[in-house]
Amino acid sequence: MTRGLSYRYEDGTAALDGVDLIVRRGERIAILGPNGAGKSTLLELLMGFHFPFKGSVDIWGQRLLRKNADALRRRLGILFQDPDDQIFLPRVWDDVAFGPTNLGLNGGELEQRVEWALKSTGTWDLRERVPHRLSHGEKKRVAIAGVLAMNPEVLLLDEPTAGLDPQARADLIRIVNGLDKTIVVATHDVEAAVLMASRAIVLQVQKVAEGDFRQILSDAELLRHANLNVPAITRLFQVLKNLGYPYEQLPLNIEEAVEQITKTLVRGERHVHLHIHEHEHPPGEQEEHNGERH
Amino acid sequence: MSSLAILAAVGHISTPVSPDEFAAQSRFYRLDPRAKIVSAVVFAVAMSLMTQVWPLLLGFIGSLVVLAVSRLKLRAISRQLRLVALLIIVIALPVYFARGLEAFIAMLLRVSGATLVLLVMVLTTASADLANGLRKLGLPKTLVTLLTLTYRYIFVYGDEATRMSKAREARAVGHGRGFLDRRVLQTISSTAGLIFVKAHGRATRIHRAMRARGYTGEAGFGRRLRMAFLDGYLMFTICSFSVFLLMVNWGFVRWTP
Repeated sequence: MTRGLSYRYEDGTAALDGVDLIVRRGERIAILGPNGAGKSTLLELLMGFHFPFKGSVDIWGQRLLRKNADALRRRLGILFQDPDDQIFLPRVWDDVAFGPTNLGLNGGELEQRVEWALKSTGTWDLRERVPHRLSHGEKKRVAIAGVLAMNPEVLLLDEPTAGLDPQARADLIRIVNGLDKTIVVATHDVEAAVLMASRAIVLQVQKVAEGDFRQILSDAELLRHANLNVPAITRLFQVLKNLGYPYEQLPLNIEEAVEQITKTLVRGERHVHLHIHEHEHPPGEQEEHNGERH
Repeated sequence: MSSLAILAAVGHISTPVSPDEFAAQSRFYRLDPRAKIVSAVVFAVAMSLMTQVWPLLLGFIGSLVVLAVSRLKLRAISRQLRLVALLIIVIALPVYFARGLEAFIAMLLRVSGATLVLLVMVLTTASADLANGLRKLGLPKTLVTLLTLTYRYIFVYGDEATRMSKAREARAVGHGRGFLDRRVLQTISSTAGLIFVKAHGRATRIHRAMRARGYTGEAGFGRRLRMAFLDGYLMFTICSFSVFLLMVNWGFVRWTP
């Protein structure tokens, strides 16, 4: 939980201004915002990397202070945007073992923990490889394994899908969704955020919005202001709504869209009728001609 | 890391081939790194202490035997061998002019034998195992961590240098001009500055990543090492051979071919 969290860079630029954030145990929350919005800084503040700051950070009831930052940090794990910053040992196995070794694990217990982390992220076969020969997606998964090996209670992910090809992105989302952890994802990839989190806050130095994705994605003005892209499927259904297509709730991903269309088909006796035409409207008649449905 | 940045900026680091990539093909790869380190260091020290040509020749032949038994592919390490040969000649040549042919041959054999065995040790061991072995042998953690990080990021900077070199070529920087041209030097120096700043940023991020994983100044190297019979046998053989050579050299054992 953060209360009134404010932080300025050394040159005086405000990175965060009065941010209140509550993350409940087991929850998955996305922090959305454009570059420079303060997303990464917020995660780094939660990790206790920056002191001093205004406001307060409490992690499961304990106030984050300079003197207890090392101890509290062990309950949190962070995935940095660039995996080359995070994989710093010259062999995958040793890098994943770095955290647990620092926790005091050794021998069979250490080997079991490393094996579990590598298998959880599908990187067991990469254990003897050198990091600079891995693909970006493989490096990301190895970096997650390194974090998981610490067995943190909370996972902070900074732009986890940045630079990944579609398959690697899908693999990463599947891995994250398979984890039984409290997760905070900082990203400007709204489509990925929708798949990984259930709630979002929009950050632009200050917190500008908070709520579930439907609420946030329905606010076109907010999204434009925050330079965020609506997922393609959601955008399509917003257009369809303007054309008169009825749906119960705005779909956020392809599965929800299929569900919506199926319901419409059932209601419409296996028919969806849309009549779209292109013509100019005199002002004032816009709403009347927005869409026609038979 | 800053020196790596400068080398990267002037294009002196290209994407190198990691010794790890062919170490696994060697017969010595699975041996305990501590046994390899101790054997190689004892042999190198013995070679450096010898002054007589015949025991040095015997030691050099011994190093060739180690190279042959290791099954390192010479083609894979030809680049390293050429560099080593150049280094050996540079070291030994002044001895020829100062102290004559015998001293020159002795120096050539001494440096060649010691370097060859150390090279075999390094090229048949994964870098992570080498670091682990050095740590387990009592080298300070900070030093081992620094060596490990430097080794890991040579490749990252190598990749960056390659990208920058391509970018420079694409924009024809230096095209048709010599290396000492003012504009070329300006470009290289500004690039070095930029890389220096980037290296500093990366170092900060790496330090944060290490702290996030429990680092408080003492890095752990966790892989368990197991000394088997073969490791002990190798260590015993090479150390005994080294002691034998020293005995011959100092006249405790009489031996001439």
